[in-house]
Amino acid sequence: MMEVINAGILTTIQDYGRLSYAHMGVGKSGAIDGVSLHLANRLVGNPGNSPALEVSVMTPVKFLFHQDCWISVTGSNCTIIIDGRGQGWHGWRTFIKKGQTVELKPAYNSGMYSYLAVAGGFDTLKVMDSYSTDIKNRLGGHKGDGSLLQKGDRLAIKKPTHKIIQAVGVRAFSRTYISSTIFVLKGPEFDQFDDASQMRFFEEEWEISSNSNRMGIRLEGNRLMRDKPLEMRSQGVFEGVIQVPPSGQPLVLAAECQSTGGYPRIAVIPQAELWKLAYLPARKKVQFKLIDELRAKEKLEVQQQYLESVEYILAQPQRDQEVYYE
Amino acid sequence: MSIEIYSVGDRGITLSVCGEVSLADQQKIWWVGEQIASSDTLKGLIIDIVPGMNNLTLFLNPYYTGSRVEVSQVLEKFWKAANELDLTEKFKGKLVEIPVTYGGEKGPDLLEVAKIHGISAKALVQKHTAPIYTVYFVGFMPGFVYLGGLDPSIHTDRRATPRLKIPAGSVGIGGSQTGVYPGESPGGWQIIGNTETSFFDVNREIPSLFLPGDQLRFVAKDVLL
Repeated sequence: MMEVINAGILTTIQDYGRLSYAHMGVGKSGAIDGVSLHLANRLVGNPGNSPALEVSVMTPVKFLFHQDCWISVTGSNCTIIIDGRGQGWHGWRTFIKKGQTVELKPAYNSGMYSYLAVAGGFDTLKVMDSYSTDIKNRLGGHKGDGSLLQKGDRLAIKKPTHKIIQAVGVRAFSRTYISSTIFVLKGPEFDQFDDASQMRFFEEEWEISSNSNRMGIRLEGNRLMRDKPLEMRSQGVFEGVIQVPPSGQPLVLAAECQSTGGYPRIAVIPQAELWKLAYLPARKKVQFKLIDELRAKEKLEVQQQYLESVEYILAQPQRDQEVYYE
Repeated sequence: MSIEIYSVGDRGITLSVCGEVSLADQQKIWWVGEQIASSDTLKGLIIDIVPGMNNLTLFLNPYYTGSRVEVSQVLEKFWKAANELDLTEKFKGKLVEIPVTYGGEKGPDLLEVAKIHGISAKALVQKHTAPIYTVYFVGFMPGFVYLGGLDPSIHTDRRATPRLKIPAGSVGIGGSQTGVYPGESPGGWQIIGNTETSFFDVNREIPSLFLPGDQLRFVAKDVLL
């Protein structure tokens, strides 16, 4: 059992999301940074898609463990404090004793979201094939109704399927990410924007609005205009699509976006770059760079190879003390 | 009717029908969706099949190594086949009657909408309950249906100031559209009534009451003036 002492502003249970219900109006939801979620789970011996905590680390968050438990923290570079003293490590699994607390605190340039996984996984409700919390649509999460975690909530932990003997760390995929450059593919309506807007979209820095959340990340900058506005009809949309509403300020659809939409799409963030959305707190600047589908595919392959190398490290006999880190 | 097929990043491919929106084209869209769902060629590649307004978007598995050209070809092949078929009977779907309490607290905009069109509230209700509406697609929020068939004489602009909170079950008119808010939501539609029928329930085997191609008729349970 893990108890929430300080819930912070946005702490939810997430897995990979509700993948196949868009035709019923239900969006994917799921972790903003799926790579870090996967990593956190694999470090403590869970399947990558197990329910773990997604924590917005813009404010401190604190948990009390009522049982012995292996945990891992990945994602943003927040400060990890164990039992008020010891410093925890990102990308490592750590043994937490019954009665100990784990606190995540904001740190400089730390990003938006961290992932905390426990060996065995949290024992919560599965709704429509996913444990993910869909706040807007009130689905899933620790109560099944899309609730955020609150002070006093207690989460049961499943019995781990195998024994962990010692701490192991892996090199983080995202650790050194500070450049705020996101590679994108051209969107279906890219050519409808006027030449100046097409250039500006890639050349200028866009500021993340404080009016951003798990549904969408609003960008602020010089207005983008279309010189060939064609009528748009509602069609299926998903995480990473960058729409431009009439305001001319781009909106990046995030994990909890709606299932259909009708604004012109100037660009689309490919799968390999989606994790970066977890590192964009309000007021940070982001720049987009154009790539083609082949490059996007290569980037995804690099990500897959990284995850495979992690699997390899974790599969080594632990008595050999194989540890791989930065 | 001519079509366009285009990519939406690395995880989407859309077939979109050009020209005026029509029910006949929408039926072809549903049919193509069905064929894709049962196609062996695309197994492992398709995560979801999402009809929109005269378009169909396939959500693709980005880790799949197959070719996107192949998907376009399959879409095109099925679209051609759909053009050879008479689908008017196939897609009658199920017809569900939705009992609605019109007016009063349940439909705060009923009188105003009637006034806009220069008809009585009863006549407005009559016009709203007369057609059999067709579910073109489900989107925006869980169980939210996009319906075809609203009588053009009662098309009504959205409210100048959207409401911050509309109760679940609200029946509204927004421009040329009518429909039901399945859950509490902000919204700009003119609210003329409310239904207790649940459009979306996670505890049902199929959570969404309606799927694309189904039909719906509003039935006046009561008209409060």
